[in-house]
Amino acid sequence: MGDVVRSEWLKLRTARANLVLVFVALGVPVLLTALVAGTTPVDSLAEDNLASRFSLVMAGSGTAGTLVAVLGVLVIGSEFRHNTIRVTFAAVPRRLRVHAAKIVTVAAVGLVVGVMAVVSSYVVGSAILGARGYGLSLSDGGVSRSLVGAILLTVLYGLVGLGVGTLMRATAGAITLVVVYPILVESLLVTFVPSVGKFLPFAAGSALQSPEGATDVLSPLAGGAIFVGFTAVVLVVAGRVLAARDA
Amino acid sequence: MDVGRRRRPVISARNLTKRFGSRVAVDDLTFDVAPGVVTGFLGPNGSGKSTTMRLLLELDRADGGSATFDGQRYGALERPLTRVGSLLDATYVHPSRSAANHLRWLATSNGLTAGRVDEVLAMVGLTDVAGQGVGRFSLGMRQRLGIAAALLGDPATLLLDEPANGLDPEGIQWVRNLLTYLAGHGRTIFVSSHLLAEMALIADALVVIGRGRLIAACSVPEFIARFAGGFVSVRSPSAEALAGVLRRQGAAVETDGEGALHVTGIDAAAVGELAAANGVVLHELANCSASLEEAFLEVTRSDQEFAGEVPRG
Repeated sequence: MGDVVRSEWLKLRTARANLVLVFVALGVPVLLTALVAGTTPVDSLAEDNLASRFSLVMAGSGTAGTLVAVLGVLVIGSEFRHNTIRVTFAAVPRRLRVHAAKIVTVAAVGLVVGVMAVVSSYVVGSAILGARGYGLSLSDGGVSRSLVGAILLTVLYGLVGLGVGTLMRATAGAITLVVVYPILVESLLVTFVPSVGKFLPFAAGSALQSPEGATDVLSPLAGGAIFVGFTAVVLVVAGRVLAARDA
Repeated sequence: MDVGRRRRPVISARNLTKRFGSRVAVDDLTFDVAPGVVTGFLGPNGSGKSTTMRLLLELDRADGGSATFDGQRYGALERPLTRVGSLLDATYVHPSRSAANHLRWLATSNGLTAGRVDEVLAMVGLTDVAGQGVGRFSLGMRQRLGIAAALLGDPATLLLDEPANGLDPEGIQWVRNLLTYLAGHGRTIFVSSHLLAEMALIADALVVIGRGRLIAACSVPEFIARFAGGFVSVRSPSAEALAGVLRRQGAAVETDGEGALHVTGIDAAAVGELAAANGVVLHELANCSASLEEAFLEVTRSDQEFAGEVPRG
């Protein structure tokens, strides 16, 4: 199993698109956060509570999650697209080992990217807001927990991307789904029918990175459980399909 | 029909069946492949060769039957690259990944060393371009990379689907020598090709399929003898009289339109004796054996998947 994980890691870091994604995911979140935290009008800052200030600080870290989700899709999608999945399964006929190794690899990259993106966003974002007189600290209600939650979310996004990519096989469709669905479908439902929308997986997951005072979200535990459960179901179904289908 | 009479077969396919929807791609296919010889896998385009290869490697799930390597299913092999090397299609590579990295991830997955990667790169002559993205490789270079991947684990068995495809004449000769050499050292070589002339040069045994069904599994000379047979070519100033004599002896006689008679069902010596006994002058008398290509076309004519289409090669 260790060999298969090392093999998957080697694959991930030797395809150009993956490297581009990871570098973008490391750099863009902090830049985006700096931009948003630095340009939001003082008037709206004055009215804001902790939750909305925290969301300014985290403005960029969501990008990391989306990019890691795309990475998750590519890790399996490129194998189908270039038919290397057949070479992979000829080398490792126990397909669930391959699936598990991809899960480990994507989770590891998601964790590293998540830590870097979230920590850099928080440090830079809170410094900028602090300089403008509206700082927040790790000891504020739920901030530390939300930072950990944001990192966890990045990992989970990557795994959902991997699962959806495995199920759909078509890279473009899978990327569209993992990028557009949370933003378009879930965000709209949360906005217009919050009582229902907040139970949808991605919206529920956002509870993980919401400090005290956020509205229209579940508790971190309930929301986290829904999203973790959703991710697990996607991965289990993906594994079963991967094992059963012709490569 | 058993190809490996002298030695225990290494690859055994038993009643392999695969359907895609209502189409039967591989139909109750049973054959054996013996070690120490090159076994050619022949069939017209779309006859199920590649599907069979995928079934052997359990990439496609069989709807019936099974295949084993030394008695073990492919899926049950630990570190399969050290037992069975395969090349299904040279285009199965990620274009932005370098040749060396393609081999490295494969090697890593089966616990093989980076040193072995360098070795096979040298064997196939890709050392100088090992760091380049495979996307820029010609089909011939990809084919060499695919062969390097198949050789990576130094396996006793090789499955190669059209390995000469896209290679230049030198490359084709190189593959031929390599496969003959490996077979000579006791390895099991199962290789498909549409280059029938190539097959005649390297294959000792044949598995021939058409529309997913087994047509023949035997040695190359047996195949030619059984399916195309030979004929006797005769030229004579009194061809018509000779034809009459031969027909009375039960031989089949056709003219080739250029004045020669093609006689089957009787050998050249008998034709000569009959001619002498009947006072017929002969200008030419020759045994003609059919080529593998003729035998192949003969046997697969009725099995062309796409009638009217020119078969590959």
